[in-house]
Amino acid sequence: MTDDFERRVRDRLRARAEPPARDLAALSAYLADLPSRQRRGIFARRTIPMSAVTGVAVVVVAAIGLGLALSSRAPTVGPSPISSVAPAPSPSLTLSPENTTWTEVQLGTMLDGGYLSAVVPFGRGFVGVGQATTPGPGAAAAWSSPDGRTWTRTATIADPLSYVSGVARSADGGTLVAIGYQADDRTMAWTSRDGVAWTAAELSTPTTGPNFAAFEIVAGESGFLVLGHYEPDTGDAWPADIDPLTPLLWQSLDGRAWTRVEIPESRIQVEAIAASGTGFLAGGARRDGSSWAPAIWTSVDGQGWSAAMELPGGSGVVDQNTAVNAIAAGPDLILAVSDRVDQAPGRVWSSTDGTTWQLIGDRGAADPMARILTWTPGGFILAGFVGDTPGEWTLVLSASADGASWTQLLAKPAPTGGNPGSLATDGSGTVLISFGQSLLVGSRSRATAAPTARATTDLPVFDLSGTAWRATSVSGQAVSAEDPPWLEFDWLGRPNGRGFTGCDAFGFGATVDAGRIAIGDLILSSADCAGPGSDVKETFLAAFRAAETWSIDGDLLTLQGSSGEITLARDLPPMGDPGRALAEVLQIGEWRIVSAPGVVGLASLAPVRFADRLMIGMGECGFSSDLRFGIGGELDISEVDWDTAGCGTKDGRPALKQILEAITTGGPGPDGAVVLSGPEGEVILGR
Amino acid sequence: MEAVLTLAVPSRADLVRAARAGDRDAFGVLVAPDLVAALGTSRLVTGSADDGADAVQDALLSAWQGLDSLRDPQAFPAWFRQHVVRAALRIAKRRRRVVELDVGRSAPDHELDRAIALRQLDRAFDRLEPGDRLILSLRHVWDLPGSEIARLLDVPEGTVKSRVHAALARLRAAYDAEERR
Repeated sequence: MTDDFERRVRDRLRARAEPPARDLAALSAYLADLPSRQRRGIFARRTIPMSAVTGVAVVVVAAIGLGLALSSRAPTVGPSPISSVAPAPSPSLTLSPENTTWTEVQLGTMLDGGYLSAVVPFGRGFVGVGQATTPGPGAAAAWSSPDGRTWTRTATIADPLSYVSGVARSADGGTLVAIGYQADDRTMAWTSRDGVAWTAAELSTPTTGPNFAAFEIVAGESGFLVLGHYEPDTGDAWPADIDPLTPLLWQSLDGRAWTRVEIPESRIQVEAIAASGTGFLAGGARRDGSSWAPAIWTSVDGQGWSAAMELPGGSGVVDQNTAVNAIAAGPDLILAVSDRVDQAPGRVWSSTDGTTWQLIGDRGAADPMARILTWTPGGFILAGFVGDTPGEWTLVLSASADGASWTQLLAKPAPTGGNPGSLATDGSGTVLISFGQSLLVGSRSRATAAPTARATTDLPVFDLSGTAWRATSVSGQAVSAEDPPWLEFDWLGRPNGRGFTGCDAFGFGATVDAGRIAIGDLILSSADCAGPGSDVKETFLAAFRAAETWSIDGDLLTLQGSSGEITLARDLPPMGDPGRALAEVLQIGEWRIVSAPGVVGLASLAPVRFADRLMIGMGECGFSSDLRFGIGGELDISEVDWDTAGCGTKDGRPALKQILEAITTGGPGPDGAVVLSGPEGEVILGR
Repeated sequence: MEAVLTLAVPSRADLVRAARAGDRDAFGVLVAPDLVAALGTSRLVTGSADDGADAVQDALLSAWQGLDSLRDPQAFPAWFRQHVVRAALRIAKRRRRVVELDVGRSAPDHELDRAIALRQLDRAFDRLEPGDRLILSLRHVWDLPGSEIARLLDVPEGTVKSRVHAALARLRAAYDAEERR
């Protein structure tokens, strides 16, 4: 890769394009042998059937605006106010160059040569989708990451020669929907509840064939909206029920059942879509005479769409030949941006309801070409490029709370892959921008990451269920590494957990919301405290009972309240350690015990799941066990406790208990399996 | 005494009028300035010399047959390029994308390196979607300005820039992947 990449591309393309003299001679002969125009239609010989020639005329005339009257359906729905439901982000959360550190992560090895199209926050980390190199070239696949820095393959979504272009998380955080196409060219959506198991659903297209692509998906309270496009072919019969400039949109409430919807206007171009608190927005351009004018459409449910709202340019005159290139909805503000073209500067418009728009600023001549505009709890983030030559592109990230004033967060040579595919942020303030084979990871410094009560209601839920933490300090005072206080949250997400004060064991009830925590009942054992933890017992308990907010920064959990602050470290091996990788893999989805030495009947055993400190055999006649992930892949399983009520014992469960409790290590096996090893033999876990 | 030779150059409108009347030579004059670029672009978009030639022939035929729909003779070049674009895309989408490496092993080492580098770039380009190949070809082979590409693809001018940008990014990613093979 060199800085003159585009020049090399240009030179190479021109060299390859140079036609041999014989081809030009053949064309001259062909020109001389064209059929008589008076006998039009009879001599459509060669490869084009007559229907195709007719199609050519239709498409060309439609496309260059020479007067063919395409059916133009009058909009039937008035502008739909798009309200917001969440409060504005607290200024203390606003991203700035000072509070955010950016790291470029190369994905090549972790993805085994694959390609990450898009990322989304999910559960305790992120899920990414893209194309893998196995089991064949271009297989749609999914990966997961706790922090954006390390990625583990979790699923093959579709057979080779498929493609996944985007992914979104449902408003409730529980469902992922990825979009793309299969090897048979069908346009698809895939849903998943865990990033591991994916269920396919087809998005209907006007005709079959490879010319349709879904490329953007957004999710909101009204479900999912997908934007796609098709490219007209001269040789194919033109779909009778659509016109060439009608964008493809699909809507779904659950990601499984999809409806193809249309904005009831022809001759429009949709460049971007967004979800707001109560609806959807589409931005693009509307054909206005011989030119294009930037326009916005709104919908409450994704099915009925408003008429186009043309956006004002300078002096109230609509810009010519521009389009809304990106759009994003925040809690109380919606922003749309256009890129500059020869005739007009780039613009920024804002709206509070999606129906009334005002021009709030011009983007300067040096402003980047907008690629992604996203609202995050830290404000709007705009990712774009400056420069015309790939090797010299500068990636520019800017943040704004109001769209009028922008703070440049970062300007650096564009990462490998060049083109940002998606931007995702989690509750800890980590920002991921995917570039195919690399990621840019932005992390907020701890001092500014602590959420305030108001802002935390906006944060996506970082799933604390099943996590275990060991206290490192209480109200600024370091605690002993020997028998420190610890906390474990219920692995099923129920509002309770258990812990240790350094002296006493306790159980607790807690309401955990996005960034907020309220401790309810607390049942404390009575112990005779003489250990090293006795001196922090009272301060720990006081701070824990009064905790009001929680925040995550990497492996650190901070609880804050009126009686102090507790900092706890995740009770797992550090990130990057094989033991941590083992934990992250095992905690994704469900596993089946495929084989264990001398044990039969495993197929009837329900799946198992893993938390930080638990291994659970699901279902009736299942089991629970204590678990500890160690450095380097060490694994200690103990107290395998079968649910024997009504289950009998004439099977391999006692033997399996013995084998499991002897496990000492774990690591990756063939074909995505995990191998747990010990003196009693190997246990193979598979999906 | 100098001889002054005055040639009557037919206007584009004259040529279109003649072509509509069935004058193949006039039609040939109209398309001639674009034939080399049309052939080159079609070869790149379809990924094959034969398919590229077929695409141009298809475009010539469809333009010839569709001359009656051309209202503004001055718009003939852009109108013809539209035929080329459509024909090339149609053929390209019926072909498979992946082209296998075929480097001459008998070449000297330094020549081989260069051939491999070029072939990696070719392979990366050939693996792009037809739409990406088209927009890069229109920009770098046909050397068309953004406004003309916008008209050809019927998209806003601002979109052209972002699509070129995105296509180059995908090409660079594909090229990087080829380098690691």
